[in-house]
Amino acid sequence: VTGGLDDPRLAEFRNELRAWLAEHAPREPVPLHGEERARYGAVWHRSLHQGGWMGLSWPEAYGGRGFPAVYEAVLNDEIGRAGAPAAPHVGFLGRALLHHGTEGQRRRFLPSLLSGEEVWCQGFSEPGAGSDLAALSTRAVLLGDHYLVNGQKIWTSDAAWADWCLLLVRTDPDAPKHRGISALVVDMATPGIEVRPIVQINGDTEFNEVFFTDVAVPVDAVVGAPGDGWRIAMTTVGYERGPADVGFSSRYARLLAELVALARANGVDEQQRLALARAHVQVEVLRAHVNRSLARRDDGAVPGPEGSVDKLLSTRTEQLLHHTAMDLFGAAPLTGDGAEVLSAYLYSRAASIAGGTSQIQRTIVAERLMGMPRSG
Amino acid sequence: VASAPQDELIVGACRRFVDHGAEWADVADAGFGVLGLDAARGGGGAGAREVALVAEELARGPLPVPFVGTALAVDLLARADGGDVTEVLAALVGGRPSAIIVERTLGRVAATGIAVDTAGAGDGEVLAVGCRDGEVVVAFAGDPLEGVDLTRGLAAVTGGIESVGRIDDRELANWTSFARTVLSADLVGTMQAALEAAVAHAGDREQFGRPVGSFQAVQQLCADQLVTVEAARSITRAAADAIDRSATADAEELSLVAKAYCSEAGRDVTEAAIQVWGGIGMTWECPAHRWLRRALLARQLFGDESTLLRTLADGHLFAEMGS
Repeated sequence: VTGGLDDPRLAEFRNELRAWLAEHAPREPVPLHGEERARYGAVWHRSLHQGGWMGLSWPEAYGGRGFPAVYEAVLNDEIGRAGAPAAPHVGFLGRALLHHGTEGQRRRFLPSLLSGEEVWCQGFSEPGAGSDLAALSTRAVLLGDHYLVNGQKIWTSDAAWADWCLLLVRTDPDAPKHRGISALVVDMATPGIEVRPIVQINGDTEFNEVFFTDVAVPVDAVVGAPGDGWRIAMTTVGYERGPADVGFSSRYARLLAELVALARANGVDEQQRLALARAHVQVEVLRAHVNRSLARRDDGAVPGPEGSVDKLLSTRTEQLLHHTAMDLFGAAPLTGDGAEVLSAYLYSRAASIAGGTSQIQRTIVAERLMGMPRSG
Repeated sequence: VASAPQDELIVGACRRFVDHGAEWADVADAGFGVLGLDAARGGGGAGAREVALVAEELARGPLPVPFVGTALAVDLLARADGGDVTEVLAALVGGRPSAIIVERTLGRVAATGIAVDTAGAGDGEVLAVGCRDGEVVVAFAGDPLEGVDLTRGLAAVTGGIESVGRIDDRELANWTSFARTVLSADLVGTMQAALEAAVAHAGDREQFGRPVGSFQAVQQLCADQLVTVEAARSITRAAADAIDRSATADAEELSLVAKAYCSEAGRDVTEAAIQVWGGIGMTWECPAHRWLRRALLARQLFGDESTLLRTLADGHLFAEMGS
């Protein structure tokens, strides 16, 4: 399927999906905060799974349907168009298990990750290891048949209700920093794990701090081999930046359509009309770009540094749209009327920080795509 | 539908033209002047995608050959009816280049005003093709104008116009979509070349004992430009593909979006390239200003971003409201 999102061979799939969404997409809006939103998300996840829409590009052996990656993008496209909530982002973490896990780990964990029966979180960042992820210091010491884990993670989405954590730990403090890291699958019910929610700038509590004190993890919980942690982390973030996953441009198109409808109803001045036209240009450009990226993408290959271009462009679009929205709504969200507009705007600031800051993405683009000399 | 091997052949040929400083005769001999014309009429039978690809690649030089003027003239003539159209097309199939006539504002095609793309046409009178009130016209270009773009000649067209055929509004609209797309591609090639050259310079030029390209301030600037160039390329290809699948409404809208985006990006990226060069970028000797100059002209041709954003707002986003 090389025609990208508009390939005619996808039409039947698209129609089937559209009909399903019309019937099953939740009508009530996504709750703004914490646990309530998580419960809502869990119901939506199970509903998508029952409909057969989870794991479209995953191997059938692990609960997927074995389609090319573009089907995931079509799913995101149609979900956005329907104004339905985003599909759960199981792909980042799941792909790491798929590429690097043992056969036993894949069979044990992937089907329940896809179905939503078990919830996962991603223990990567630490207070002292943000952009410099390889500086992480959470330690795992091997004691016979188990590791003893001590340390702290931060920005861990869903940790408060997760069943499992893909945890990056330092297993070899004497190795160079990128080589001494391993990835463990940790049962979040293990004694010694404490989760504390972080209140974000929009009042939400999506993220958490997670503390590990003498947490015992069986030795067979290592993903891949000890020391493979960095490679596994890069696979995960590669998918996080890749077009099929960020290619949610139709959500932007829908938001823009809502803004235009509002502007039509209320009447706007020339400057606001031009601001909306500019946002429209950016949304269409992103859609064309995601489409081209998908057409070039080699199915099955781990996304490379070109994903950073996609992420930077997506970030520009998201942040421009929310600026446009805030400007259009004017005083309302600032004076207690339009909480969701304000919340969405505030959250859009994360686009240039989460999954690798825009500064880190630009360094990747400069050094790895453009071949510029390495910075000091 | 896009064919990767054919794309590679086109790109390879264009790169050789650029590397060897080819002249119009070389480009015409390869059949590129009439690349988009039906094979039955002596052309290459290629789509907008391929024509845009040639425009993009030749702009990288930038090569002072009138490819864009000729490609636009050929497409305009091919959409017209009338006995004399065939005669003019035959001359272009034979390797003669053509300029395209636009209003003095550069905003739209016209019968008098400025003939664009007269450089590199060789000796003799430069043919120019334009349009007015449903008539496709030809004229000979008059006095040369001292334009900003050192690689694209301009000349006044004040009279001596001869009608060669008729074109309906729908075909003229389709041609305009094509023109915006080809100019967008020209801007993509211009941006790409300016950025590549600036990045290469940043890898050589040393200050503080290190290549300036190793400084994050310079890297971040360049990386942002690459994002812009890749985005510009994506939307330009999308517009060309819409033309090739005869999705005329999509083509009109996407070509507006592409030209609006590329017009703004073209100036930004070529200015950033000058910044990366620093003081050398301000000299005539440095190639950076050639790309900036080319971008300045291309961004005005058939509308810059301000004009086109207004068109999008009035004609698309707020269409039913009127304006």
